Amino acid sequence: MTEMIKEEQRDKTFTAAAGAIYALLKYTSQKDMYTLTDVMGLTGHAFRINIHPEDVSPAGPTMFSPTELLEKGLNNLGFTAEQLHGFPTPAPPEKLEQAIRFAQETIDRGIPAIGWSLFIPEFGVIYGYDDEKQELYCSDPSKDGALPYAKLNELQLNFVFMLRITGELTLDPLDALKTALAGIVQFARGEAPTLSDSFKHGLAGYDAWIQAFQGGNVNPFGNAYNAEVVGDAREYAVRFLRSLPERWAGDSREEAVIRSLSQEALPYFEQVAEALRSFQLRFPHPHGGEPNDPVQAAEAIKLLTIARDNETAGIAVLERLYEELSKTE
Amino acid sequence: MHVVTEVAGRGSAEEELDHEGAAAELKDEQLVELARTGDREAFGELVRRHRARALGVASTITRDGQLAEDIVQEALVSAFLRIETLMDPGRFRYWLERIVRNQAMMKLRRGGPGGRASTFSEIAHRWGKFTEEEWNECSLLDRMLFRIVERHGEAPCNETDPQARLIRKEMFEGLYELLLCLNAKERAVFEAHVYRQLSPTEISDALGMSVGAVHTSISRSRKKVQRERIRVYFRGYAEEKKREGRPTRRVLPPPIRL
Repeated sequence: MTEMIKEEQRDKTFTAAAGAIYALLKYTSQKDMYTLTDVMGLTGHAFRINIHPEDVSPAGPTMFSPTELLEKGLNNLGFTAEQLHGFPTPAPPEKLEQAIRFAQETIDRGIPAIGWSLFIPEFGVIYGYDDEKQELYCSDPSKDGALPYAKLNELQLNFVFMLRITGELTLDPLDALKTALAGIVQFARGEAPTLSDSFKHGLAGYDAWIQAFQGGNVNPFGNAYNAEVVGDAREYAVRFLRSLPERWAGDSREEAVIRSLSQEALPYFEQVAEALRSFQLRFPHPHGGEPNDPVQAAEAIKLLTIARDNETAGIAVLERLYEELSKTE
Repeated sequence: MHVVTEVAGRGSAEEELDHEGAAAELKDEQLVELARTGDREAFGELVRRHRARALGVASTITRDGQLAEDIVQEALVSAFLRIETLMDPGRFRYWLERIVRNQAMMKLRRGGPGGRASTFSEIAHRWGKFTEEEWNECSLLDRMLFRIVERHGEAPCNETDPQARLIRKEMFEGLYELLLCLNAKERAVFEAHVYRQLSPTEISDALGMSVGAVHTSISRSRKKVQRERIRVYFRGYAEEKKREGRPTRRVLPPPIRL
C-alpha cells in the first residue's frame, strides 16, 4: 500500500507547470529518458517558492513568465519551445483562430500544446481537436475533457496562452545539471525574473511567509495551497538529490563531487520537507484551517523558520556543488 | 412585438431621404447622424464621398485592385453596422480609412484571393502602424460578418449602385444567421437595443417586460450572439480546411493525469 501511494505520487505534482512538461515528454522520443523527479529537479521546480508577504496569495507559484515556468525548463531537458503571443479575451475570432491553429499544428505533429487556465487557473495540456464539433481536448489538474472553441473567449483568467515544443536539442547531462543548479541558486537568492515585486521568492519567500503570519491577514486557501505546492516540490527535491549518486556513479572528479555534495545537501532538504509536511497537516488544503489564530500562527512561524534555516544551509551546499562543477581543470 | 415589425419596415428607403440630391447637400456629420437612425440613403452618400479615397488606401496596402475592391466593400459593411460606435461624426472619413486598413491587414494575413499568404508579423513589420489595440478594435459583430461575406459571398454584381444593395443583402444575411441563436423574445429585445438604439426603459415599455428583465436579456443575448459568432466563424474555418483536404480532427492519446 505504501509502495502504491509512493508510486502514484511519483507521477503527480502540485506544480502544474512541471506536470504539463512531464506529460508532454511522453509524446516525444525522450519519453523514457526522464522521471517526474528528474523533471522537477532539472527544471528547478522542486526548489521554487513565491510568497506574498501580506496574505500568502494563491497566485504566488505562477507569478512568473511562461519563459521562466516552462520554456527554460524544457530547454534544460533538451527541447526547444515557442510561445503563442498570448492575448486577453474576449478576442475576435481571428485571434482565437491563431491560438487554435497554434495548438492544432503541434497536435498534427503528434505532440500536445501546453495551455494556461483551460479549466482552472493552472497549466494544462491540449492534446486534440475537432473542427466539426469545434472542440479542443484538454487535460488539467481539475479535469479532462472537451473545451469548445467559443469557450476560449470565456476562460477564467480572461487570457489565452499556449506553448509548444518545436524541436529537440543535444544536451550534455552535466551541463544540464549545472544549468539547473545555477537556476536553483539564483532563484533561492531571489534573483529570478519575476512578474511582481510584491511577491518574494527563494529563501526570502519563507521570511515573507513568516511576515504574513505575523500580520494576521493570511488567506487560508492561499496559505494551504502554497503549502501544498512548496511542500510537494521539496518532496521532489529530496527525491532528486537522492537519485543523483546512482545517476553519477562514475570515477570522474565531477561525478564524485556530485555524489558527495548532493548527499550533504540531502538532510537539509529532508528537514524542509518534514517541516512543510507538519505545516500541511495544520493547514490542510483546500479549506486551510485557522492560519490567523495566534496559536496556530506561532506554530506556523516555528515550522517555517525550520524550513527556511535548513533550506538556507542546503542551498549553500548546492551552490558549492555548482562552483565545483564550474571549475575547469 | 411591434418593435420588430417597425425594424422590418425600415427596409424601404423611400421613407428616408426621399428627394433626390438632398443628401448631397448635407455635411458628413449630418449624414452620420441620419445613417445612425438607419437611413441608408445618407449612408449611401457617405459611401459615394469616401469610397475612392478608401479604395486608394486599400490599394496602397494590398497592391491588388480586385482585393482592394473587396476590402473596401467589406469595410463599408462594417462601417454601416458600427456607425453608432463612431464618437465624432465629423471624423467619418478617418474612421472608415482605419477600418479599411485593418481589413486590408486581415486579408493580407490570411492570404487574399491572389493567394499571397503573409504572416501577420511580416505585415505588421512592413507597415509598422498597427497597434494591438487597433487590431482588436476591428473586432465587433462586423468581423464575423466580414467572414461570412468572405466565405459565403457571391460574385460581385455590377449594378449601377451596387454598394448599398450589396451592403444591405450581406448585412441582413449575416445578422439573420447570427440572431438565429436567440429565441423570439430575446431577438425582439436585442434588435430593439442594437438597431433602434432604444433604451432598456423604452424596450420594457414596448415589450411589456420589467427593466431588469430587459437588462438580463440584453446581456444574455450578447453572450449568446458572441458565442454564435465564433461558432459561425469556425464553421467556415472547418469548411475551408476540408476544401483544402486538411484534417479537421486529430486526438492524441490522453496525457497522464496532471
